[in-house]
Amino acid sequence: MSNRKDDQVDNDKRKLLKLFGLSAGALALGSLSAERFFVPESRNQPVLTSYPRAILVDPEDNPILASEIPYANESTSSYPIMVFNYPLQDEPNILVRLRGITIPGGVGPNSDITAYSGICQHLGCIAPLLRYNPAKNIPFEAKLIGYTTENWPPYGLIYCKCHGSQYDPTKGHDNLYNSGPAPSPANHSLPQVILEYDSTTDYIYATGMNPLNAVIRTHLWQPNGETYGSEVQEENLSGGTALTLYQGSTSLYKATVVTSSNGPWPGNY
Amino acid sequence: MHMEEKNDYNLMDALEEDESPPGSYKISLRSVTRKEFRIDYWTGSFLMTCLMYLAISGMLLFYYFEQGNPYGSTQQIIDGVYFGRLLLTSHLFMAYAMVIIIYVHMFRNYFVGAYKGRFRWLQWILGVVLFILVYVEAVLGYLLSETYIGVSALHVMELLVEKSVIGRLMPALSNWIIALLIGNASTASTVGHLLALHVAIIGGLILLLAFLHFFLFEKSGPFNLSEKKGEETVKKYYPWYPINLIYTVFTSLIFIAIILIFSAFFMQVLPPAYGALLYGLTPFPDWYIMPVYKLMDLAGYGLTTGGVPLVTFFFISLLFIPFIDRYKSKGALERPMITVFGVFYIIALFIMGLWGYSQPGLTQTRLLTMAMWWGITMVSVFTVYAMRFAKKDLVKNEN
Amino acid sequence: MKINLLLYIIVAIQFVIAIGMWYVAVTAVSNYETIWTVLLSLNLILMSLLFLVYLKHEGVFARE
Repeated sequence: MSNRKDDQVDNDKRKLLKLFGLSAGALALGSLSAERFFVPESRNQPVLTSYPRAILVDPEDNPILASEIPYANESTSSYPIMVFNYPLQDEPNILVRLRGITIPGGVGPNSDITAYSGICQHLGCIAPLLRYNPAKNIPFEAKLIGYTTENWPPYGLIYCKCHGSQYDPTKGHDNLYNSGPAPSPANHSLPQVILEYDSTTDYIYATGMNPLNAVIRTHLWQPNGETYGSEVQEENLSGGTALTLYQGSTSLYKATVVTSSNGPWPGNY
Repeated sequence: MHMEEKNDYNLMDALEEDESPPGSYKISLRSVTRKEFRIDYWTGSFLMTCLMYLAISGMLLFYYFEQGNPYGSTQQIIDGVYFGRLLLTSHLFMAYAMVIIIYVHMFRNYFVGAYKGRFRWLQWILGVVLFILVYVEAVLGYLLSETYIGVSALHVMELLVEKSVIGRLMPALSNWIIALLIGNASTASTVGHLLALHVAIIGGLILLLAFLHFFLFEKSGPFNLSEKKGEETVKKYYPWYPINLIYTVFTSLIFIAIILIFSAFFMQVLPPAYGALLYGLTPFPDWYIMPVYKLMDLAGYGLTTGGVPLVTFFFISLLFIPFIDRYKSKGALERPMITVFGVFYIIALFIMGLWGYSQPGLTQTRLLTMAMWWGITMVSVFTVYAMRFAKKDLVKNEN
Repeated sequence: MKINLLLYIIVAIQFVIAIGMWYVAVTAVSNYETIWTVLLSLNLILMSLLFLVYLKHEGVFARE
């Protein structure tokens, strides 16, 4: 151990140690300039220049027919979850069809088919945690926060089991629902997919995301950047992998619709 | 008579607590004497520096290396990543430096007899194992990018195992060894195995053995190079913290700076990819494989004494040096036969390496092989014994 | 030990080099990697010089 025979402080040694510290600090400061190494140039760069045109197909690559999509109305008690990825491979969307009502932005012979982003706008929980619960099927978690058959909306809600965000599928792009017994923690409506219906073939195409909606939740470029505007398209098209092309086509992509319950197109998304 | 330390074969003694010499701090690592502040004493610390730098730069490279696209992702590191070219080049050059310094370290300790006494025999054995592991690690690293030369090397390694004694007598074992290397031989499986071996398995083994090796170094105490009689008492010990620590950091920083400057001015490009159609291009191994490469062309004395058995003999002879060496003293010229072997190995390495560059892939006749080995043996024996007799004369004349 | 003015100058130069490294990295001039690496090596050598002075003072390099 160092002997304490003199309590003199060696000031020179102290100065030297401080110099060592400064020297190491200068070295560290300089070396930090390599921080760019960790951010790839492709970060926050769109993968595609515009929304892809994707045909909705089943897991065997056959295009689904609009007439085959199950519908829900005011007396439905069970509805399948139907999910497809659009516009990139990690952006699931929930397909819904409601009979007896016109959905703003809906397609099909009765304008009742539409799809909403399957990523909750609150903290990013995905389908099936976020799913459409029809009129006669109030989820257990919703009952816990005060929903009863009286205040559950006539067509049900898209309800997120994680933290209770609620979205009304009958309202189109303006679907944030806050008229329930408990407030919905989400701040924005679920982005709506722009679909296109071909009446000659009964096929459905996804052609874009509604520009009136905010960014798909997990594709924000900056934490507080939930902008509405032209940047939304670039953000939606970055941070993921592009869809696959459909059967050798060079311009038509495919979005595979799958379901995990009673529906006609089983599989994993 | 110079007091010599005996080898201590009881490893439990290594777990005893140290007695520190007076005037030193009791912070984990031992103090050093002034005599030990010679640059050749610290080749081991340079190796540790290399290892640390390789580990850290390797971790950074791991960010961008894609197992499913080895060549493309390596090319992307060079072209598309900020400081990627520098990182890859300095990783390569530091690996080269590590191989060079391993030779320096090994031969330095060989010639001064630093495997003698206390636990240094085990230190030496671990060191030879580390030598082999570092070579394996270097080769594995080179194979990761699936260049045309890397894949050729991989095929050579597979076939060497298959056609070796193991392969002929115990094909199941050789199959198992090859599977360790390449799995089911699909590209994905091969790169996956190579990556796991290079990054985690061999790298981890090297780290572990290096620390064991260093632990034994600490326990064995200072290796007194001086032969002077009556030089037993040493005046001053310098504590590990801060003096020795600063010394090692200082030398390591300068070392890293030199390697970085080399990297800055000799930025590397990737060799062509596997599958590129290259006419007129002989795949050349890297310089540190060259001696082994040419050794495989030698005919030997018959009964499979060429190539692989020679390399095996090289390593086995090295491993057993602490037990073969029966000389009582430590100096190089006081152990002439040991020194002869050392000089032989150095000359042979250089000749094999340079020959490999000038005449790659050409097998040699038995006559030439014998002439060469005997020639080098003569040169080694004559030079070492000549120096020994000269020194004896000098000492005799002085007294 | 006496702290020379030289030692302060060494550390000051190190800071200047550090700022130079930042400049080269951010603007990414052509051949920025070589320049950056040379600056880093200079920085390392200057820090080693400081250590060298300290070790000399402690008598590590003195002859017997």
